[in-house]
Amino acid sequence: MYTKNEKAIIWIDLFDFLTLKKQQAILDFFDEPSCVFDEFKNSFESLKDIVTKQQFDKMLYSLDEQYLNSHILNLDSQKIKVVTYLSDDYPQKMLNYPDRPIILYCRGDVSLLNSTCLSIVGTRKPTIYGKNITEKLAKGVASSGITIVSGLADGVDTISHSSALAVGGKTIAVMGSGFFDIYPKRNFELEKKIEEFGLVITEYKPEVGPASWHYPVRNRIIAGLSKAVLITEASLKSGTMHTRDYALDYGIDIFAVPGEITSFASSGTNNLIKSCQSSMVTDVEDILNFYNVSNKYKPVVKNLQLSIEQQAVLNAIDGETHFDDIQLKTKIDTKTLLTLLTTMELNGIIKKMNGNYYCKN
Amino acid sequence: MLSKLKSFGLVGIEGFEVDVEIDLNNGLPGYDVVGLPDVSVKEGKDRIRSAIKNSGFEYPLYRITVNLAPADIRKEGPIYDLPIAIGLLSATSQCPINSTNDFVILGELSLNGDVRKVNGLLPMLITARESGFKKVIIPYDNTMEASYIEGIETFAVKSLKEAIQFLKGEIVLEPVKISRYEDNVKEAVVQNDFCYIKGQKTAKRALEIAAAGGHNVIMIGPPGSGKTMLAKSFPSILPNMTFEEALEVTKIHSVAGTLDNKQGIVLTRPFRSPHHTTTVVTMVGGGRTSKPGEVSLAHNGVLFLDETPEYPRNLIETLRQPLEDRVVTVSRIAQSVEYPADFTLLASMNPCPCGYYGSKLHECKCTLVQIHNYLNKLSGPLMDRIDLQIEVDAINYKDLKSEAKEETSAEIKARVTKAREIQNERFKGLKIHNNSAMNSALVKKYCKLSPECERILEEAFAKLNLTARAHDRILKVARTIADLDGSENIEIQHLVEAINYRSLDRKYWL
Repeated sequence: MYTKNEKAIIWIDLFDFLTLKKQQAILDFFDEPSCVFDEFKNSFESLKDIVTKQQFDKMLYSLDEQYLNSHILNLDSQKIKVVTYLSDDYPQKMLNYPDRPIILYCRGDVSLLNSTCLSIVGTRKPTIYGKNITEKLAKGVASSGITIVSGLADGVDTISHSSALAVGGKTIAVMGSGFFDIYPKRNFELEKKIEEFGLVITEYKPEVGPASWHYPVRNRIIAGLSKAVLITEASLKSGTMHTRDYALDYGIDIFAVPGEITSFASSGTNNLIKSCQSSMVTDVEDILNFYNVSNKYKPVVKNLQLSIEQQAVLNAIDGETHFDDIQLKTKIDTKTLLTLLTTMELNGIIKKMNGNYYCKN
Repeated sequence: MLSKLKSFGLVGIEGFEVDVEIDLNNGLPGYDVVGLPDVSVKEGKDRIRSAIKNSGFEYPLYRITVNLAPADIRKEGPIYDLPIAIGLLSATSQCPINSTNDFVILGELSLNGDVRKVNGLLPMLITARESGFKKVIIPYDNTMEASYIEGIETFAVKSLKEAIQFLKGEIVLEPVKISRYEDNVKEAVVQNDFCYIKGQKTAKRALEIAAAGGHNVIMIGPPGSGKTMLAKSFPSILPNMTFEEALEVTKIHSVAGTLDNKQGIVLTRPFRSPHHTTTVVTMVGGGRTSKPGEVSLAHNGVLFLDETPEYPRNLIETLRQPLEDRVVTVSRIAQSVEYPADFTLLASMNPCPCGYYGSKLHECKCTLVQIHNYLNKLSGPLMDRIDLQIEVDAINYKDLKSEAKEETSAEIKARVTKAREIQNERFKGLKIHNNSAMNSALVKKYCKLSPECERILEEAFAKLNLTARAHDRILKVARTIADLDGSENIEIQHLVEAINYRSLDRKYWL
């Protein structure tokens, strides 16, 4: 059960008109949060800079332990656990940050909040390169026992979460909406899965819907939870750059994956590397060395004897290579080459991407 | 003063016998047509009067009653001008009364007495032949169309006067000479050729398979990648139509009035590409006069939908039934008509509204929701009927200018024709002609896989995230690839290549 202090924080989070700063100001006014139950009714004079009379009355009206208990019971029935900044489960690292959320609504394994985390963020519309790299790095990191933190959005976020789950690793999803309104809808099933095998958290009350301004703000939690932030693919204008800003503020290390300098999608990450704001990542070891853990990820690779033709095809593939270019180099006729490429793809040696491009796996 | 002649009418694309009866009564001069005539038949009154007068005959000043029997089927079009005019003249003895007994007469008149062409002549001639008629008088402009019907003598007349002279025996007309379809089809020219398309090897190969097995295809690619050009060249690799197929197609085009009079028969497989503002009625057929729609005009040929998601959803959904049954039934209050609609569907689409999703060179400006909605416009049931999904990508300048020799359509066509022969042999006695039309029972019978192939297919499903609906599609396509190879069984390489043509199923689009 929750302590009196925690209940006070749950109470103060009930009101939409209180911003994080106002919440903090009210809490700061009292010696400790639980004092509100006795002293709040007499303190309008001191709080009138923060709340109006109307708002004050509203707050006072709800300041009833019975009412709060029923609210908490309600949350319990929804399997939503509340972690306040006073709880032991609260990520200790985040206590140092001035704009830390006072409350986190959680579903799943709350002990993950204090595990060693890596945030993986990036564009919602990754290119094939971005998708492949994200998947590879997320799987490598997650299987080495590091918790992957991401934002449950489309693209890189989704790939990071599902890759972590795929290798049986741990993952935390930080949402920009309450639990009753999961966004994007497409990730509903992924969210349920993360609840089961990882943790989903949000600073918003369950009934709060998604809003565009929630996302940059929730990025501070993504940054704050982790020891380092990995940006796999992001353009210069990407929302991912908010996470970078928070990471820089908090003094958290940033890793970025370089991309082709002509690639629009990688312009943000390339720029990070160029301006020395981040370390460059080309391999999962780069991250694991930082965490001082050893690589336990062993992708299942069948040891296949390649035929001469297959070897020739493999030699012709250099980065993302178009079908026509492979054909030009190998001089194999269309239908045989198609068969060869698909066989090799089934064997996991290469990967087909959209637009008839192929790359090595 | 009664005269009776034979003519024909049309229901859908089938002809039916019409008795034209003309009776002259005493009374106030007048003209009445009974027997469910439509407006164009009724208006014949004035054409017939002027034509008779201007041909130097005398218009009978009687109370004229024309009956078109059977009286319960609607008669459409100006086909009956000529028989009514001849009937009027024979009723007034300006033409021998018994001379018209053996003839079926069809034709529209112009005011000066010339005979003009009619639509739908071919189906009417075919029914006339089946009902045992031996001689037909047709408009001269329809000569070529009639020349493909053997076993019935057709006499082409240019004017009412010529027709009367012929019936009187004053002049002799030779029956229309029979043209041989087999000779003409060889000379038929197809506009586009595959050898003008540089690169695009994978797309060309997929279209070859589609042509060989009659599979429906969807092409996905950014703007300017050559989807339309590939589609337009597609008919050039389709095997020639047999005479029966050509007659079927000609029937439809004859009824629709889109037949080329100089050819008289449709020699090349039709290629229809309706615009995306097309209405449902023009797509499936129907309307007040029950005309065949685009799906029927594409019968035995290709229906090309460019930028498929731009078509209204209800329009695309109407294609589901013809794709399944290969006929469309158009029901109207007066009648219900069945048109054949056995076509290959060629669809093309961009990967997203702006066209550049997944492109390396351009930034895609669409939101994920937009892309999702765009791709979702093609419903599952429709995608169920599309066997081949291929990606076409922008070609670079170097390839455009390359001097490398590309295969000509004729070379590909030879392979396709061979594969079709194997299929015709296989499906002898069944109602289907190609692999794409196989139902699950036939797939089970003709697409047996070796244990090794089974294993690969299973692996592919797991690895490539294929959906269940891909299963039969892959087998059918593999069957066609094996046919192209002349192989009796589906071998590993055939199966593996077939798996390759499921781009959209592989979910990397979203």
